[in-house]
Parts: sequence; structure tokens; C-alpha cells
Amino acid sequence: MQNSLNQTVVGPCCEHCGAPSSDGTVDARGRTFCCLGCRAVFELLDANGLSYFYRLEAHPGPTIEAIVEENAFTYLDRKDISRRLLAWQADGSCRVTLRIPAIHCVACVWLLENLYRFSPAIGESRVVFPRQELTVHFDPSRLKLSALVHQLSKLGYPPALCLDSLNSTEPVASSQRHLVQRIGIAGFVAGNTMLFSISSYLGLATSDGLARFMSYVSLALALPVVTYCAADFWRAAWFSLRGRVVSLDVPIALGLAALFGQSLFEIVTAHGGGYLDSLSALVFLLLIGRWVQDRAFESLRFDRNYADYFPLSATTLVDGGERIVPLTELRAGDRIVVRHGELLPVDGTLASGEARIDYSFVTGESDPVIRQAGDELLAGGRQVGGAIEINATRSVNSSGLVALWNQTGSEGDHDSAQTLISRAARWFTGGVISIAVASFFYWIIVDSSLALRSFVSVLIVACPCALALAAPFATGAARHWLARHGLFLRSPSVVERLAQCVAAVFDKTGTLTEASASVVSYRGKRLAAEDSAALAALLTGSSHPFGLAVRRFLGNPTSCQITAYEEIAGAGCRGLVERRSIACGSREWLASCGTLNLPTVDESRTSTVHWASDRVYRGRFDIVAPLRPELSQLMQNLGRSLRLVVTSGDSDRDRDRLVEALGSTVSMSFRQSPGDKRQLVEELQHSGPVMMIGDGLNDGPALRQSSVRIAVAEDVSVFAPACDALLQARELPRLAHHLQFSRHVLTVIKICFAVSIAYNLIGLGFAVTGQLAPVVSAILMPLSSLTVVGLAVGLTHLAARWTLTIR
Amino acid sequence: MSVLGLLIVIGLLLAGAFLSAFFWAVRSGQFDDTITPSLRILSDGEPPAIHKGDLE
Repeated sequence: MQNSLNQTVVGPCCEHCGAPSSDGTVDARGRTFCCLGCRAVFELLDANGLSYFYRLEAHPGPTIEAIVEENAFTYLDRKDISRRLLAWQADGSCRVTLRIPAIHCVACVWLLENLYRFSPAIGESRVVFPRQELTVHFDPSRLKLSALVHQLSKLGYPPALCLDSLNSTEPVASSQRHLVQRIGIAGFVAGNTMLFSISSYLGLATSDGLARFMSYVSLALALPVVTYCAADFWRAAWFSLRGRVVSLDVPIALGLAALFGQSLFEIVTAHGGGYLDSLSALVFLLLIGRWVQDRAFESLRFDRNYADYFPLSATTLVDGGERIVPLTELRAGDRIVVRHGELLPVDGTLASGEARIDYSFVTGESDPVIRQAGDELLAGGRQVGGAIEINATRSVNSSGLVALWNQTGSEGDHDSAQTLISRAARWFTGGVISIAVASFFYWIIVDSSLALRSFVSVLIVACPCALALAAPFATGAARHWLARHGLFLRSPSVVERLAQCVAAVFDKTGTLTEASASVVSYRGKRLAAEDSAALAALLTGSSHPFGLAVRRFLGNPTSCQITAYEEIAGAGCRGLVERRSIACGSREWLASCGTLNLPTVDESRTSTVHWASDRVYRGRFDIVAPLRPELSQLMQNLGRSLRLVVTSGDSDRDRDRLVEALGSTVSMSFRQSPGDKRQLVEELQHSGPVMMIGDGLNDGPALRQSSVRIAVAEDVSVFAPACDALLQARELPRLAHHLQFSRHVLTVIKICFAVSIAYNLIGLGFAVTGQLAPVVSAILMPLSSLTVVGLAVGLTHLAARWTLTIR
Repeated sequence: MSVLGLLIVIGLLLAGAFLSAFFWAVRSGQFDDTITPSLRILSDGEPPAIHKGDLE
């Protein structure tokens, strides 16, 4: 007999979180809950007059995963920690800003902004939804920080407290504010100077005094534009000149300087009104381009380091009692308790317990490593199974893994690589300067009074505003289209690198396979209802992932009592259920329990859990992490333009399954160490940029080596390792479309470049003949900028329609 | 024509007043988060008080 896990759920769902609640609890009014945690939150909200929460959305609550202990956060009240988390206000209250990944809907915002109803010590609380942050004002003399955090956790909104929280200072909103302010000023000045210039556009004879008055007012208005709004362009041009790199900022700065210098000269010598309207309009548009490009995904973070994964505290044993201390205070010689699912914070030796450590975080190997008392343990692994005790041999910062991480922390900035834009900039700047010089000398021979004027005019007209706008608007729009289809880019320039890749390396575990949705199949004697019930009762206490997978597979049988329960972490468990002795676990475990008729099974291809009743072997559960759907189609689409490689740290037991699912065009390598993977990427890079698609945690070296690092994640807002792009797992099959789109965007940028160069040539025609009237400049320059912006956004939109929306 | 000069000054003063209002808005953080207020307004119609057991 064989059946596999089916996850579709029909039936009652939890009043609080919407999860299936057929095996949950029911309260006096017949409301169902999936667990006691959800019910407790519901009752807590009801008691505090906050049941409006449930009217804002249907089942808005985050699932309560574990009941949090009252004293779990006491370490937060230590002076050295609270000092770095709290900001004191003048009136003795304080403010704390916490990141809460569970914030997801209107009801969350409402509830968290009504925290004051829980305690008189809580004042105002504000949510910043895009950053998933909560800022709470409270009175620390009446409510401790630990109590506040505990209250939040109890409600299902546990703050993400990691080592990095200590380093966070005030939110960096100020650079964004500056940009908005600059756009405002530039727009204000552009509008007003255009109004003042209308008379000169139309060639109307105004009284001389008034015209001069208006041009001086324009000059006064343009000063903040040149000094404040355009400051970034001056700075960027200066840096690129000093670094002897020609970027697009150089001709921009040159053009702006020529515009301003010419205008200043004309106004002071009363020759004309200058080009101050064009100048401020250009700066306005350029700043808008920058803003479009920089609109970020605030809740996502692309540059996490170890500090984001490590917890804030560890449990130490002092004189036989447990104490929670901040991680920064761990010293060599401390004895630390690490429980199931916790991260080893420091290097140490195992003092007691059996360590089964999942180092997939570091090495990519998904099978846990088993260590005995006295063995060395490296920080960064996750304990799977029972609690262990460790004697720390180093402090956190000198532990091997962290040291490694710090070493490679300042990785090379890919953005400085040869991009299309930088190539265009070099070519363009050279062309402009040679044309300007050529026309200068031509006019010296023909009519020396026009020489300087035509030189300046060329610089003015050739200001590569349109050129500089094409890329930000196209890549900015592309970034938002890609985000809408599940691919979040760290910076707009990733679009270009993505389009140029010639090879793709896939990590197997967690990328091609779906670790969280293991498929369980059962072989053996038929599972009667009482067998399922007995096994379910036995496995409810187990914390091993295989045990949990089998427990899920069994569904919701009737509950029964269990006695004499015993679990050996990593081996199996046994107990007495209704006078039957049930054992479940590895083959060796069953053998050690004295099971009869134990068959030999080939376990090289799947992970297997066996079970026996009253020492009689009954059957086994095969657990397979399934491959994600639609992979063969993806590989076929990608294979047309890329070399594809799958690597894995695991043994090759999955090879046949992978070949079947992916097709034979994909080359595969197994038992690869992180170093091997890095080398593989390096070799592939001889022929061009290589993208690596992994879960972002494993294979640090290979990821850092690759040109584009894509991390696949089920929930992008919770999970964000160091990478260039985050791909939502369900969108993985459509990666080929994303790539196709990014190539189209590159074409769009090229088209825009061509158009803006055409405009520049027309303008140059006016300039070299020395006829650049203010009205020509006032029409030509904004027109070219606006057409290019329109083209960039419009064509990107069309490209998205063609490639991304195809299912 | 000197009335034009006066109008320019008045116009600039008026526009300057709006510009300073814009500065104030930026400085007080109104442009920092443009998403949460749009969610907050959805829950503004809260009934005065719901007490224990009111929920059906």
C-alpha cells in the first residue's frame, strides 16, 4: 500500500490565523482555533477591546508558532543591551524601534498602533509598513523592554532580534529626504524661470529695465539649483575625474557648467537672458531620474552578514543554573546550552549530549554531522535533536566562521564593472570634446568673435541629459516589473548584468528541491486507524524533521495517551500506547530495540523512517524532498542561451531523478565542497558572466565568485542573504522569462541612446553654426529628455507585456 | 509696466510660502513613508468601543 501526503484542506479554519483547525480547539461560542496559542491571542484581544482587529480582515493573525516563555527576553533589560536599543526622550520615556517581519496587512498596522490599550505604560506606537518596523514610546520605569517584547511575541509579532539590531542606529531616511527636497527646489526654480523667460522666447520687446530685473531674479533663483540641487553631479564628476574614469557625470557637469557660465556672462554683460530655465529643468529631470532609480524595496535587505543570523543571546550554565547572556559577552570557557533548532554561536568543544549539527548554512551539505562528547564544534551550525552543552573555546568575533565572514565581507563591487553606460559615456565624452574644440578652431579662422560662443554652445547642447535619463528610467521601470513578477533586484544595474550572463549554476538543495514540503510514502503492513493514532501520539513529542514529516503525513487521527516515552535524538523514539510498545526511527534504532524480522532496505536513495509494534517490524516511511514543479520547461528555455550546471554537496543518490526532471542538457556535479563550487564558477567565467542560483545561505564562496547572485526564497521579506537578487520560489520556473525581459531592457536602453544621440546631433547643428538661441535650447533640451524618458518607460512596459505576462 | 515688477515679487513671495510649506512637510517626515498612511486610513472607522464578549 502506498499513498502520499496531500495538503489540500477542507474544513473549519482558525478564527485567528486562518489555518485549518479541524484538530484544534473550540471555544464556548463555537469558534474554532488551530491551536491554543491562537485562541489565547483571540481572547487577549477580545478582553482588551481590540476585537476590531478581526473586522479589518478575515483571519488576519500571524500563526502562533510557539508559546514564548515569560523570561525569554530578560537579557534585553541588561544595561549594555538596552542602552543600544532604546532612545531616551526628554520626559523620561523612551523609544524603541523593532523590526517585525510578521507585519503584513491593515489589521496588523491597526493592532500594533493600538498597543497602548494593553498597558498604561505604552504611549504612541507607529508602524512603518514598507520597512516592517514598529516604533513604540513607553515608560521604562513601569514597563520593562523585555515585557514589551514578550507582549509583542505573545500577540504573534515577535521582533527580529539579532546581533545586528545592536548596531542599527536611527533609520537612514535623511538621504531620501534630501533628494525629495532637491527635486522640490529644482522644480520650483524651473517653473518660475520659465515664466520669466516667456517674453524672451517670444521675442517680445519688454522694457529693458524689467527684462534685466527678471534675468537677475532668475539668476538668484538658479543659485541654489547649481549649488545645492546639482551638488551630487559635481561631486560624482569630480570623483570620476580624480579616479581617471570617464563616467556620464563628466559631460553632465561640463554641460551644466557651460550653461551656467554662459548665462552668468550674458546676464552680467546685459547680452541676453541666458539659459537658466533649461539649466534648472535639466537638473529637475535628472533628479527625478535618480529618484525613479533609487526607489528601493525597503522591507528587503540584500546585504546581510552573520550578525543578521546570529541571535542576540545565548543560554549559559553558571553554577548549575541557566542564565541568558548577550552573545557579545560570551568568553572562552563559558558553558553554553544549545537546544534543538538553535545556532551554535561560538567555536567550542562538546561537553555533553549528542550533537547532530546541520552545517548547510556554512558548507551546503544538508545531512547533519554527528559529533561525540569531546569533539570540536565550529560556530554557525544548527543543532538538530536534543539539547547539548558546549564549552566555548573562543569568543564570537574570533570564531572561525565569523572570522571567515569578516574577511570576505568587503567583496568587490560588481557595479564598477564595464557596463554599457560607462562605455557609452567614454565614447560620448570624447566625441563632444573633440567636436567642441574643432568648432572653436573653425570659428577662430572664419569669425573669431563667434569661436568661444560656439565652443560653449556645443558643450551646452551636448549635455547628455537624455542619455543619462535613458538608463535610470529603463532599469528603474524594469526593476519594478521584475518585482511584480517575483524577482527583486538589489540595484538597477543588475538588470544589465543579468542580460549578459552566459552560464547559470544551480544549487540543488533548497533551490531545485523543496525542503519544506517533503513527500512521505509508506510501504509495509497496512496502517490501521489505531496504528496511525499510536504513531501520531508517539511522534508528537519528536522534534526531528523526519519525525515531523511523518507526523504531518499521518494527518489528524484520534488522540491517545502515551507513557514511558523515550527519544534518542537523531536515532528514534519509543513509548507505550494503549499497552502496545511502539518504536519508530532509524533501522539501527529498531535493531537496538530488539525488533524481529528487520528487513534490509536500500536507503541510498531516500531517507527512511521505520516503525515496529511490540517488536514486530511493520513498515517504513520513505521521505523525499520533492523537486520544484516545471523545472524541465525552465531548463529547456534557459538552455537555449545559457550553459547550465547543477551542483550539490550531497551524494549523487538524486542523479537519476534530476536527469529525468531536468533533461540531459544540464551537466551535474555531486559531492562538491564549497571550494569546488567556487572553482567551477571561476572556470565558467572564462567565457562570460555567470549567474548562480542558490538558497543564498549555502555556498558563500561560490556565490561571491559569481557575477550575479540570485537567492531563491519562499518568503522574501523574512529571508534576505547577501545576494544581487531575490527570487520568489514560486516564480523559479519563469526565470527564463525574467532573463529574456532583461535582455529586452538592454535593447530598450540602446534604442534610447540612439534617439538621444540623434537629438544631440540636431542640437549640435545649431551649436556649431553659432545659432543656439535660448528658445531653441528651451524647446530642444526638455523635449529630448522627455521623449527619451517616455521611450524608456513605454518600451520597457511593452517588453514586460511581451515577455513577463506569458504564462 | 512697473506693475509687472510688483507682480513678480508678490508671485515669488507666494510661491516661496508654498516652497517653505513643502520644506516643512519633508522635514517632518511626510515623504518618508508613503504607504502606511494609506493603510491607516482604512481602519479609521473604528466603532467607539467593543467590550469583552461583543464579538459575534
